[in-house]
Amino acid sequence: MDYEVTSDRLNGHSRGDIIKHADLGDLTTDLLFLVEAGHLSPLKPKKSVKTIDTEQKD
Amino acid sequence: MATSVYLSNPNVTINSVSLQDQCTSATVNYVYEQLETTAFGDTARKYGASTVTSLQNNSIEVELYQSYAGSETEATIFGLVGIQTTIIVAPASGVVGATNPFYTLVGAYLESHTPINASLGELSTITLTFSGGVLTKTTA
Repeated sequence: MDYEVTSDRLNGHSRGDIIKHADLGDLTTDLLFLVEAGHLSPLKPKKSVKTIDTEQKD
Repeated sequence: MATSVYLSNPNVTINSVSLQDQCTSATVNYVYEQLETTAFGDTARKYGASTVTSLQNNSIEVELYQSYAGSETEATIFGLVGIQTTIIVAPASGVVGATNPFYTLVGAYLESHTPINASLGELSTITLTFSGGVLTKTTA
């Protein structure tokens, strides 16, 4: 899952960066604490765009 | 000429979060427990030996201004009580190097926190002690 950096305090990252858990290495115990503290916000996966089949009428 | 250290801009990172601008004091204690190896025939007490490796008993103490605003001190610290985390302290905020070593304490345990420590007319501060864990010094 990707996370958006939502504070200016996250080590080595800027507000608005999109990061993964691995980007923080071993420096954090649990990303949930960073989410609860307002430093990260989980990004919801985007839904794929549905295709619409259209049949041409004669 | 002797040199001294004037700490004005140290780097303090707790659980990946930089709290440098809230921190007023940081102390890194690097400790190997002292094991006595004195034996018969010795005329003085001895501690440790090349074949005796004792346990590290490290700790880091920091003093922070308390802040209840979003993403500030309280929000960052409260959830860390009772668990292990990682703390990095460096003399300056620049990049790691021989003259700016990074001291990283991995697996440090925060036993207690004082969410409210307020006196009339004074800025609220908290003192945290992170105990245990393995301390490494990085210079590159």
